This record gives sequence, C-alpha cells and structure tokens, in this order.
Amino acid sequence: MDEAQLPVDLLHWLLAVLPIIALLVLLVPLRWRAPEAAPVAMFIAALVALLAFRTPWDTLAVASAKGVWDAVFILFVIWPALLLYQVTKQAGAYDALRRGISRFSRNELFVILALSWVFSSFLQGIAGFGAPVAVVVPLLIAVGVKPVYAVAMGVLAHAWARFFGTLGVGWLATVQVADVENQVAAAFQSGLLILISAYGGGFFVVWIYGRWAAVRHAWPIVLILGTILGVGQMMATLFSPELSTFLAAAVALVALYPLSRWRRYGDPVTGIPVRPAMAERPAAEHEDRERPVMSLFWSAVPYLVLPVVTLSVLLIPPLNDLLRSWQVGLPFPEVSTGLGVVNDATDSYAPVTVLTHPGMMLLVTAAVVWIVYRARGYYRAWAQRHTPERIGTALLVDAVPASVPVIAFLVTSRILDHSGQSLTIAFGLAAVSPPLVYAFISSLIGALGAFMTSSSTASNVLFGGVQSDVARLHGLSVESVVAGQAAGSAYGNAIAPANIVLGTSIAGIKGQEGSVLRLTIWWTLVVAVLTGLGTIALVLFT
Amino acid sequence: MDKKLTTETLAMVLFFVACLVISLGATQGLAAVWWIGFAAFVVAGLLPVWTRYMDHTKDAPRDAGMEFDDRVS
Repeated sequence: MDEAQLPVDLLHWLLAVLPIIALLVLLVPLRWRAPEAAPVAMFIAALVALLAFRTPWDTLAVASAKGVWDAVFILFVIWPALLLYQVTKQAGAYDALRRGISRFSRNELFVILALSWVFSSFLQGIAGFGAPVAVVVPLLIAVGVKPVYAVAMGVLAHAWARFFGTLGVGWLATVQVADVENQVAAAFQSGLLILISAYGGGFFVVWIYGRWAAVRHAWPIVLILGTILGVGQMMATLFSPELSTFLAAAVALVALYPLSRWRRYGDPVTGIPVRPAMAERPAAEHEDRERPVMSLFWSAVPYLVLPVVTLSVLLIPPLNDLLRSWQVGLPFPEVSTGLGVVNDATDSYAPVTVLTHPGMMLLVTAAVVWIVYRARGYYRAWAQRHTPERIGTALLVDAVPASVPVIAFLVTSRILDHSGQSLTIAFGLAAVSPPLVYAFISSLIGALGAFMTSSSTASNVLFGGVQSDVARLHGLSVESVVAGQAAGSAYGNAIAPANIVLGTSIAGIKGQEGSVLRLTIWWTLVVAVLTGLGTIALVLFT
Repeated sequence: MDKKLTTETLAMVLFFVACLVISLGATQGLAAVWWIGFAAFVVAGLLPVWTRYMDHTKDAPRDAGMEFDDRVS
C-alpha cells in the first residue's frame, strides 16, 4: 500500500477516528444494541472514505466485500461454538459441570479464576478466535457469576494470551509485516510487556468479584498463576514463540490441582462482604435436589475432546499438511483511491483453511459430543426434567444477532484500511509524538487495531509495518516498539466490540454490550498506561 | 422467529450474497454486477438499524435461546 499522499492533518485525523467515536457513543452512553450501532459506524466510515479520502465507489465496494469475507473467518468460530454450547446444554452437561466444579474446590473465587483466567488462556493457546469466550462464559454463569460480569471476565482475563495464542499466529503475522532484525529480542520484549496484561487479567477478575477484600484474599494465587502464565510465556518465547502461550497455560492448568489443596483456596471464601459479580443465588440452585443427569467426567467431555481434536490436527505434521491443502478465498481486483492508496489484486483473498480452522475443531467436537451424549441417553434424561428446545432454533436466536455486528465491524475496519484512514490515524499519532511519546502510544495503536478488528493478528497485520517504519524514523528500537504494538494488540481485545458481542450472545444478554464495556474499559486504560511506560523503559534501557 | 430476528437474518444473508456478487462483478469487470452487490450490501447494513424503529409490540417472546436458560435468569 502506497501511503505517500495521505493527508495527515487534524481535520482528516478527526474524520478518520469518527467511526470509532460514533461506535463508542452509540454503544456506551446511548446504549444501542451492537447489531444497530455497528452498521452506523460502518456507514460513517464509508461516507468519510468517499468524501474526505477520495475513495471511488468500486474501492468502497471491494473493501466492503473483503470485510464480509474477513467476518466469515470469525463467524466460522461463533456458529460452531454456539452449536457446541447448545449440544452440551441440552444434554444437561452444564448443570452437571457446575455442580462438579463446585465440589472440586468450595472456594468460588478460586473456581472463577481457574475458569476465566487459566482455562480460557489454555483454550486461547490452542484454539483462540473466540473459542475461549464461547466456552468459558457459560461455565462462569453456571457457577453463579452474573452474565455481564461473566462476559467481562471471559473477554478480558485471557486477553494477554491473544498475541502468542492460537499457536503463535499473531506473532507469525507480525514477523511477516514488521521489519524486525532481532526476532528473539522482539518476542522476548513482547512477552515482557504482556506480563502487565497477564497479571492484570487475574487481578481484574478478583477485583470485580469482591473489590479490595477479594484482592487481599487472592493476591498470592494471582501472583503464582500470573508468574506461571506470564513469565512462563516470556521464557518460552526464547525457544518457541509459537508454543509459548500453550505451554505456559498448560503448566498453569496442571498447577491448579495442588493449589486447590491449599486450604486458603480449598475452603469457602470468607471475609468478602460485597460480591457484586455474583448472582443472589447460584443459577439453577432449585434443581440441586435432583442428581445431575451425568457425572463430572461426562460433563467435561467437550473440554477433553476439543484439545485432543485441535492438538491432533495442529501437532501431527502429515495430517496438518493434508488438511491445510484445501483453502477457500475470493478473488478481488486491484483497487486504489484518489490519494494513491493501492490495494493489490488477489486471486484468493484471506483464504480460509477450512479443515484446520478452529471452527472445524469446534464442529467436530460438537458432533462427537452429540454422538456420545445421545448414545448414553443424556438428551432423553434431561428432556424429562426440562422442556426440550430445538437446537437449530436456539442456534439462530443466538448466532444471528452476534453475526451482524461482527460483519459490520470488520467491514468498517476494511474500509478504514482501504481508504487510508487507518494509516492517517497512525501517522497522525506519530507526527505529533516525540520519540518517547511515540514509544508510549505504540501499544495504543496496537490496541486500536484490536478494537477495530477484534483480533491481535489483524491488528499486527494492519499496524505492524507502520510501527516498525515509524520506530526507525524516530531512531527508536524497532524490537521495543513492535513489542508495544504486540502488547496493545493483546490487551485491546478487552474492549473489542466483536468479542463483547460474542460474549453477550453466549450469555443471553444481547444488547448489554455497553454494560460490559463499562467494566472492561477502565482496566484497559490502566493497562495501556502501564504498558506505555513499560515500552518507554524498554526503549531507554535495551 | 420475531420481526427483529427475521430482519437480522435477512441482513446477514444479504451481506454474504453481496460479498460474492461484488467479488464476481469487480473481478470480471462487470460494473452493473458489482453495483447490484453493493446495493444489496447497503440494504443489508440499513436493515439492522431499521429494527430499532420497528413496532415490536406484536412480537411473540422468544421461546428458545440462552436468555431463556434458567441459569441466566
């Protein structure tokens, strides 16, 4: 993309950020539902592109179509994840799982941390693309967390794992686009800055659970698990960035067992008078008089099958190579704008490797789980206690309102990208920032990318190259600035609308995206400031 | 399905159709085709916003989906 003629002035910068501001205003103070607000932001981006960035109609059309195709990649996770949810739910597995987890530790804060922070990070390490949110949010609700809080925890606590997660896809994208000479240093410094989000994720969960009293109770376990997750990932980047999140999260998952034997975290929580995140009574408490329809083992089958399926495909090279051979992508012609932004023609835009996509793993898992539960008669047994729902209808009700905003967000992102508005935003920030100030805001640019696309990978594809260029322009360490971008692309997911919509849809609170955002935005601001300061320290001392 | 869900489903389908039609029209150089796709895309974007101003008083409560799961009530 040639960005030489892009206008970088206050008027164009304000116009470029207008869609993002409009989206925030509609979602938070005006409390519009995401399916209504997202298309408005999309149309604003299109109007600004047409009127202020000399974007021809054909470029706008191609950008829009590419945005829809980008969404297919994410929707292919959302729909199978919701299918797996329904397949699991209608067999009575969540009821059994909730009661089984409650017996595993009687300390509900320990259970909530284990699910929202450690288990979701493990899932992010191997699957990602929304699977942690889709899987963990229902479990949090099942143990008694209010839906809005469950979504906030489910979206935010594993954000640290976004960059090196999904077997390092964000990292691999970054080294493709950014001109990084010392990749080991860049990966290690990224891991160092991501420590802030890693520890911060745990403390956020504890804080919203019960404020300072909960922090006093849980700080030792947050420090222990945070060190296993964050420091473990950072050290693992030295020999395998691709596996770093997975390895760290797997160790943390194993460490939960000995930690649950520690009386402090095995016994019920005491001394936390205010617990705003918890429902008055654990959901479905009235059913506890009856035995669950299945044992804890059988209720955990989806979470045992999913890693087995995913790792089988990803870690067996011949199978992986075979399945990767089938890709689907759409052709698009070269398009340009009057300001010289050119996007090359492609025969296969953003090809989806259907058979190794996380959505396929979820789909296979859903099929296996359905067969197993049906063979064991769980659907029949659960239907005798509850009015059965048709899985297809429930899936439509949940998935369609989640899909529309995801499409609109990604179209907005693609329009910003194809019209040059993304680069105007980035270059505008760079132009008014002295080198150290730029180092500070480098993670904000990464977070902006994650906010726009709900993806660490996409954020790094959008801004990784710009960040390394500007770092070199300012004489800053490229590795440190790229690390700032990487950290921002991770924590920015905590406020990414598409992630929040996925969570609210899973939790059955569609329309309450603003309430979730109000919980996560303050954490994001604090982490942004700390990460910015950390990036400055890296630039000065490395 | 109530009006809101029907409209949003229609919007989603139109988005996908528009994507394919625009790709086809733009790649083959058929301006009329990609314009049709783009028009479908604009309608798809307007439909969800329109649901905000629909009359929903006659919509039947949804009897399926996670908001009716007793765990979240």
